[in-house]
Amino acid sequence: MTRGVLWDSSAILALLDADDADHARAVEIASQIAGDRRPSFITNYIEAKPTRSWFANSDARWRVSGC
Amino acid sequence: MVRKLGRTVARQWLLTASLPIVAVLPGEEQRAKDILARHIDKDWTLCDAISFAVLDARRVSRAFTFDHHFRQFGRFQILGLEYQLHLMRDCRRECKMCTFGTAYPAVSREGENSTNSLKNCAKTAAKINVRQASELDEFQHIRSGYLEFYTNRAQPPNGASLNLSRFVGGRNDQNM
Repeated sequence: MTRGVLWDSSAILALLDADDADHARAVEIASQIAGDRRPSFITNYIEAKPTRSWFANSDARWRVSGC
Repeated sequence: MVRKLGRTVARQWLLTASLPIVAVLPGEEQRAKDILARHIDKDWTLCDAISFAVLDARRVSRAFTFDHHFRQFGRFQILGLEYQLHLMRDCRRECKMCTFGTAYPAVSREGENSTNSLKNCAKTAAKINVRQASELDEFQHIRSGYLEFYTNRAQPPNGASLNLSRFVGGRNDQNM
């Protein structure tokens, strides 16, 4: 097994939203991951998910999903 | 993100996020579809299944998520939900009437139904307080436990106040 960590959209949203119920924990975990120097990554699906509704009616959708 | 944080934050995330992005391979997409086909009783999204497939295929054992679907799949160490489970264990320890999470294993097998309890406790209950729970039909089975607990005891026992505070107060109260 590798030391990597997949970041899910729920974690990203919690991290970015100071009002999220999980925000404090998300910050704590993100700090731990950084401290442990674990390589983090997301998938192109996760990248698209948080912004999906933004681009739902946009010609710029390709910028996110690549398709 | 647009719904929760607004367009500005969404745009900033899109343009400045520095996390490496793994392009999902066709084989991983197919495996994700296979996962969804095998577990028709689960409400996993394709994005969830893609994550499961990628984690499996690339031998990554950890996911940073607050999505209980990852625990339902059950093969990974989940950073985030561990904390919520800890809250629930503390709650159960102090409130004997509480039926939250009565039979979940530390790590369940893929698609195991026992993780359904998490759907009703860890993910949701960690975000709600007593007042909100009392308004939801799906929490009828625990409502009486909470209310009786706080009715019969003037104060939570030592050590319980910190963890239980999330259920009886917090920012959600301000929004209600």
